[in-house]
Amino acid sequence: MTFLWPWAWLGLLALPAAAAIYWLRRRARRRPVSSLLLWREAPQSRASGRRVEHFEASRLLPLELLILALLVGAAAGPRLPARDSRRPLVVVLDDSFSMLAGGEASPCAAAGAALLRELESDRHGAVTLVAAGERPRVLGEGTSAAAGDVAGRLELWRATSPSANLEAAIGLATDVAGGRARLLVLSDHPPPEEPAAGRLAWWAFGRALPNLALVGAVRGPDGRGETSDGLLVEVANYSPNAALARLAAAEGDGQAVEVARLRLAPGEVGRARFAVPRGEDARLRLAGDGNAGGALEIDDRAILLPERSRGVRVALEIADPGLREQIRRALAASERAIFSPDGAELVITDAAGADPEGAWSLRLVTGGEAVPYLGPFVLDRGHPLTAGLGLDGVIWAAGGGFTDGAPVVAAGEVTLLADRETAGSHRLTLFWRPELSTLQRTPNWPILWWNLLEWRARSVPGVRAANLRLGGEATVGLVAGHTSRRRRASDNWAELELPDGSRRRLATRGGSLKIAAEQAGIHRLSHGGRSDRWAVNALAAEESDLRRAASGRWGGWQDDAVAGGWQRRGIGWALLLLAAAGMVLHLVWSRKG
Amino acid sequence: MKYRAELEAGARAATRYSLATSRRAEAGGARLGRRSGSSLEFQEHREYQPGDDLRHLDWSAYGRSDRLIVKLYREEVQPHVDLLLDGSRSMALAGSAKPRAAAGLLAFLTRAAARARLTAGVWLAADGCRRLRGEVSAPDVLEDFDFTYRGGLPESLDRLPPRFRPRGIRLLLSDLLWEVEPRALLARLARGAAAVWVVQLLAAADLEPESSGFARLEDAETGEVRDLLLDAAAIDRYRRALAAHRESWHRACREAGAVMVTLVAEQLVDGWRPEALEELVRHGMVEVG
Repeated sequence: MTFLWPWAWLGLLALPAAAAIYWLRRRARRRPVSSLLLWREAPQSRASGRRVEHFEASRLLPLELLILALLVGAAAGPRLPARDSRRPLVVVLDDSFSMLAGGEASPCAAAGAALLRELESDRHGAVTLVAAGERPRVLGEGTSAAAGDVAGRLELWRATSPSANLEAAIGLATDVAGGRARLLVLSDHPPPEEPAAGRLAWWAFGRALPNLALVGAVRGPDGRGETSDGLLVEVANYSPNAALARLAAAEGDGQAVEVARLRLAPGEVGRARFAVPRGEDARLRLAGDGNAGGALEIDDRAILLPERSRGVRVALEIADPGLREQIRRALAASERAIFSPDGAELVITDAAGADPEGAWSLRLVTGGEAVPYLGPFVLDRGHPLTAGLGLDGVIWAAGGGFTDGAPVVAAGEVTLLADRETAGSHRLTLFWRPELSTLQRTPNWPILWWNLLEWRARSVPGVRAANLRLGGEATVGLVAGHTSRRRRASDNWAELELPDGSRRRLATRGGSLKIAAEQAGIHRLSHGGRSDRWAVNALAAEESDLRRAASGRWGGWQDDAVAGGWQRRGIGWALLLLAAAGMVLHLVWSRKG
Repeated sequence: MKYRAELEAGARAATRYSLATSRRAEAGGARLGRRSGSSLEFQEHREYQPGDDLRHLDWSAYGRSDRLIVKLYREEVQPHVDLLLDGSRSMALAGSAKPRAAAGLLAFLTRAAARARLTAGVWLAADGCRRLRGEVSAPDVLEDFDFTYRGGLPESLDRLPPRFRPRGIRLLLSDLLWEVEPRALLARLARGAAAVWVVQLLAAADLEPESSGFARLEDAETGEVRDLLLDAAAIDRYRRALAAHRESWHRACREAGAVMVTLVAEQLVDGWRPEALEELVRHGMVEVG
């Protein structure tokens, strides 16, 4: 037994003092009387009568001393070592997709089975599962150690992450577990260093398997016209032998045709380029010869969807030809402007009152009596148009004019660039006298137009990038009505369909949604009457390389360690309980006496 | 003699007092009894019966009637007081003046009896009632005595009753602190007595016990102990019990035609002052002179 506050035992010195006080207080002076005849009606004192006092002294004093001793004992904070094998267990599960290697005999399956067998030993209390992906997360709810409950939570273990941040997950597990819990890491590779003995056990179930894998795939304009896209695919041979990789591609729902053959040395990464019709989905499939197989199915296939054009359709409605050309050149320099009067997403005009439906507008105000402003200029640094702008030394002449837009750039009280948002669109007004300004001759000029096009492009509904890697994040611009005040009830939700067929409803707030890419395959988001798709591919070279996978057990739980398994349980509460019972008994006996 | 000084003091105190009685003897201190006796006072005539004293024949009546007639004379009775002294241990309460007062009072009463031309017999109620030999007023020749009996007066009377003289005064000197029905005891004392006097002798501690916190009370006679908290409430209860006990004795004495007086030992031994003896005078047991 140990004691938290051993000095409290000094309180036992009070016991003899208490006994002395008790004896002195209870001791009665002897007084002879002629007869007890007339004293018989007087109630005896609590310590009265030879026999009664003897009885009282025989039980009350020892009881009082015992209560005092119990209180002193409780104050000393006694703690008994109690071997408690049922301690909480926190399991860190390697969530990277290398855990799926080998199909049914994958490290993921083996680890799950081993965990359930371990739980049969009934030496674990609460069990918490932490999935170690790029960011650790707790799997499921509850901490029951029942095999059935743990098995249910293990089903949430997908192992589709492009990497496993085990260190962060162990840190989270430590925080969750507290000081008493055991930690168990289930992975497919050895720990970076031998875990310190005590709390952490590392079990690996990996096997060094040969693997051919797609480790890179991108799609973009192939430069040979506007009818096809070019695909660049990287294939790696993670096997000890040379391998022949055959790459097949299917366009849309068509049959797959072989598009490339790559003979790869052990560890070599080969590339293949081929074209697919623009606007068609490209489904890639990798196969190898008998010497190198697809230990991992997830990296044997990829889907590349047509990317959305990054350009912004711009209509130039500027009467002044010189001014129009100046603006056109600035927009063209960004390579993001698609000059088209039809279906324009951005209208740049010098006419007053322009209010194009469904499009943003930028009105150039170049007339009026202009005043050149040297600064200081006030910029709304939170506005997308001001990103990267530095107007020191710039002369910005403007003729002024009325605008009800919020100032984006101002010189004192004079608004030079204003933004008025209306019904999801923006009405921008640029006050600028080119002949008196140097703005257009500074780097701020192309930056300003770039910011405008980038901002407009982000606001266009639809997914920003159609092809993502596992672990990435899809950004989907929502329909303009989602940002207006007049929203329909149906505009508050978007429906997401995941590659495994499950669906989720997502609340929509703001102009876009960010959705984590956690499953490989095609995702669909329906919102505001439109549907957007994006593909997620498992393209992670480190995870596809199974040559470092291994099995084994490292570390362990040393329950007999002093700071380990021996639980020191405080028993002061028990002593207090006994003291309280003694006090109740003392009260009862005293009243009876 | 343990109580020599007290006996002498009590006897000295009685020099001014004499026991008060209802009839006085004219000659020799003798008094005439109701029965026929050998006094000179003629009582009545009756027919001679064999065995009568022939000296008492009435020769004149015989000459006139030729019948044998004898004269009967009233008997001559000597006045007597029997003092029954409670010899129990309570009469020797430690720390009190009760034993000294009892001894002194015994001598006082016997001397007062002698001054009233009464003979006195002193009985000690101990393990049976026995007569103290010698003269109480002469401690040198008086049998030594002490208060050592662990029982009460009733038990003592039962074990060996005293042989009281008939038609004498019977005076009980005790603290009366034992559990007994007083009527029965008084009836026993009054049987054949001319008068019964009860002198209750209490110590100051018997009347007014001290309030002293926790105390272990020990019965002087039985040795029984009782621990009590002698607070004001307990003292008050004792006083009420004592008053009730004394009232029961007073009532029993009234019913039995006995006289009861209570004296305080400490007051008596404090010089045997007249103030301390006033109760005896007031109740007609002693008179000055």
